[in-house]
Amino acid sequence: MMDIKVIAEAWKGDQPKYEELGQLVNKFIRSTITECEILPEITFRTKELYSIVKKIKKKLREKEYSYTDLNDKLGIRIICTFQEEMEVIEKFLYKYFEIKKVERKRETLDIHTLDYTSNHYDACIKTSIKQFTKYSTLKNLVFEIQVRTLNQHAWANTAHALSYKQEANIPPNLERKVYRLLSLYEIADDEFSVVNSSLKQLPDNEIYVLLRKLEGKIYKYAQVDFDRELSLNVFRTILGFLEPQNAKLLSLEIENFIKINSDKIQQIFAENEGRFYEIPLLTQPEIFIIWYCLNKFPYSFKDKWEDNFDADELEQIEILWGKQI
Amino acid sequence: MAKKIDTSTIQIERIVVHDLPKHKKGELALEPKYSEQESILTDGLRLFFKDKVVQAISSDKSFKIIFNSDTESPVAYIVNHILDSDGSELVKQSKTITKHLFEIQVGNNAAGIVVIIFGKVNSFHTIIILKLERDKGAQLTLDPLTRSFNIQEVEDLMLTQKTKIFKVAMFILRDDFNVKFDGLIMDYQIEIKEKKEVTTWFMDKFLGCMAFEDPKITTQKFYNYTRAFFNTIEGELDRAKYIQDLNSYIQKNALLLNPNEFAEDYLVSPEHRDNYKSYLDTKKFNFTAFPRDISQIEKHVKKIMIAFENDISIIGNKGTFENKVKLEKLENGNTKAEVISKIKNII
Repeated sequence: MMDIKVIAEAWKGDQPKYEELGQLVNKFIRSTITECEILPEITFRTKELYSIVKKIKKKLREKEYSYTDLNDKLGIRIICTFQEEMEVIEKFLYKYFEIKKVERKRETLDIHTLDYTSNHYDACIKTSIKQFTKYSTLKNLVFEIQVRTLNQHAWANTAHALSYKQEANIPPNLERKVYRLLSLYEIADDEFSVVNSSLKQLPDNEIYVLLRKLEGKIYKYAQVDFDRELSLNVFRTILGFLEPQNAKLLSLEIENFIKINSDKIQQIFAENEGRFYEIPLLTQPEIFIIWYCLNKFPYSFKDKWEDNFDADELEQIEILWGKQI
Repeated sequence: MAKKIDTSTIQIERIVVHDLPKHKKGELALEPKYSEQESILTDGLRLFFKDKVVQAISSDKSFKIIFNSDTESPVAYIVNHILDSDGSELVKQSKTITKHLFEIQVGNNAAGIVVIIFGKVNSFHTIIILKLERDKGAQLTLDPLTRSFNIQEVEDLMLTQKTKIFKVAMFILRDDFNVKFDGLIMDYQIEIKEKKEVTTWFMDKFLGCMAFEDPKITTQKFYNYTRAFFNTIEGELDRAKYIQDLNSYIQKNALLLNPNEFAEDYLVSPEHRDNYKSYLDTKKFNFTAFPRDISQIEKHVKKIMIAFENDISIIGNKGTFENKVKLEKLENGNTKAEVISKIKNII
C-alpha cells in the first residue's frame, strides 16, 4: 500500500539535497571528464513528485517497492559521440564514484532482440575525492547515471515520443517499422565507430590525422568545443608552409610535446580561461602546433606565420608560452 | 642542477603602487605619495601585469644581474628580506625602495610610478619592480579609504600610452633555482651610447646590481660558438659572408649583444636561424642579451682571412671584404675571388 502523503513529505525534504547533489555531480563531471579527452553532453534532473509516485505505483504492481528503493530520484545523463567512448566513461565513473550497480542494457539483450542499449549506473559520491570531501551529508544518496551515444539518445527520445514502450496496441506493421529503425540506429553506431577509428589512421591524410590527435587535447585543457573548419584551414596552411621534414617531426612529436609540457599547458589554460574571447586560438587545437613550432623552429615558423596570419596574435601566444631563462 | 626560470609560470599575487612627483635633485619639500596598503587586484589586472612583465623579461634587452656587494642601495637587503619572509612587510619595504629611488634621482626628474609586485615564478617567490614615467597630466588617485592607489588606473595609463620608459627588474632567490645570479633586468634606456659600460642609474644606483658573468668571457664564448656554428653551414660563400657579418656585429657601437638580434639581422635563411638557436642551446649559451666586451677577441675580429686550397690566402681588415673582394661560386665548385686595386706592398 502506498501512502502518497508520506512520499510527498519525504520528497519535500529530500528534493533540495538531490538538487544540490545534481549541481555538484554535473559540475564535477563536466570539468573532469575532459581529462579523458572527450567532450560529452551532460545534463541532470531531479524527478518530479508525480513521476516518483507513478513509478512506485507501477513497480508495486510487480513487486514490493517503496520510495527508498527508487534510485533515480536524481538522474545524470552523459551523451557521447561514439560507442567506444562509453568504455572510457565507465572507467571514469569507477575512478570517481562509488558504483553500486551497473546495468549494461546491450549485454542483457537476447541476440534476437532489438532495444535501448545504454549503460545505467547506480552511484554515490566518494568523499575521498577532493571536490566531494565537504559534502559528507550527501554521500549516502544514490543517484543514477545514464551513459548513451547520440544515436541511442535519438532512439530513446523518438521511441518515447512514439510511446511504443507503453505497450500500447501498436499495429504490427508499425511496430515492425519501429524495430527496423532501431536496427538502423544500432548499425549507425557501429559504422560511425569503424569510420572514426579508420580515419584516425589514414596514412595519406596527415591534416585530418593531426586534427584528430589534437581535438581531445583541446577538450582536455580548454574544456570547450572548437571550430573544425577554422582548424582545418589553419592546419592546412601551417603544414603547407613548414619544410617537409619539419612537418613530419611535428606529426611524430606533437603528442609527446604536449605530454611533457602538460602542467604548463594546464596552467596557461586555467589562467586565461576568462579571456578566451580575446585570444580565440586558445580554444582551437592548432594552439598546440603553434607552441610546438615556436619551440622547435621559431624563426622559420614566425617568418611564414606573418605571411599568412596576424603577427600580433602570434606575439600574444608567444607571451603566454613565456621564455626559459 | 640549475633550474631555468620559466616566465610563463609567473603569478602576480600582491601589488603595491607608489607615486613619484616631478622633482629636482635635493628638492626636499616634495616626497613620494605612498600607498599604505596593497592595491586590489582582479584576475584581469593580474594577467595584464603578467603579460607586461613576461614581454619585458623575454625581450632582447633583458639580461641577468647580480647584486653588487659594494653598493649603497638597500634594494638587495630588502628584496632578500621580502623573499625570505614570504612577503611580510611588503608595503613598508616597498616604501623604503621608493624613497631610495626618489632620493638618488639626479637632475630634473619626470613624474613616475613605482609598482612592486610580490608573486611566484616556477612556484618560488619573486619580487618584481616596475618603474614607469608618466605624462604630466596623468595622475593617480589615492583612495582615501583604502590609502592605496587604484591599480586599474596604472593599467589605463599604460594602455593609453600616457606612461613611457618602462623598466623592469625581477628577483629570485639563488638557492631556489640553484643559480649564481639574482634576477633579470630590462631597461629600455640601457643602450646609452656614450657610456662605456652596461649600466644605468636604474640598475646600478637604484637596484645596486651589475651584469652577471664577466662580459669579456661571454662575448668570447658568443664569438667562438657562432664561428663554430658557421662551420656547420654548407656553402663557402655563405660562411664567408656570415663571418664578416659576425665581425661587424661584434664591433658595432652598442653596449649589449644578443644572439637573437644577430640571427634576425644577419642570418638570411630562417632555417639557419633555427639551427643557430638549436646549436647555441646545445652549448647551453643563452639566447638572451649580454654586455659586450671584445677585449679578448679584438685581434680575431679586426682581420679576416680566406685561405684557398691552392695555398693562396686573402687577408683583409674588418669591413673591407664585403666591398673590396668579390667572391663568386663557379659551376665546377671552385670559388673565384676578384680584387681590384693597386699593389701596395709585397711581404
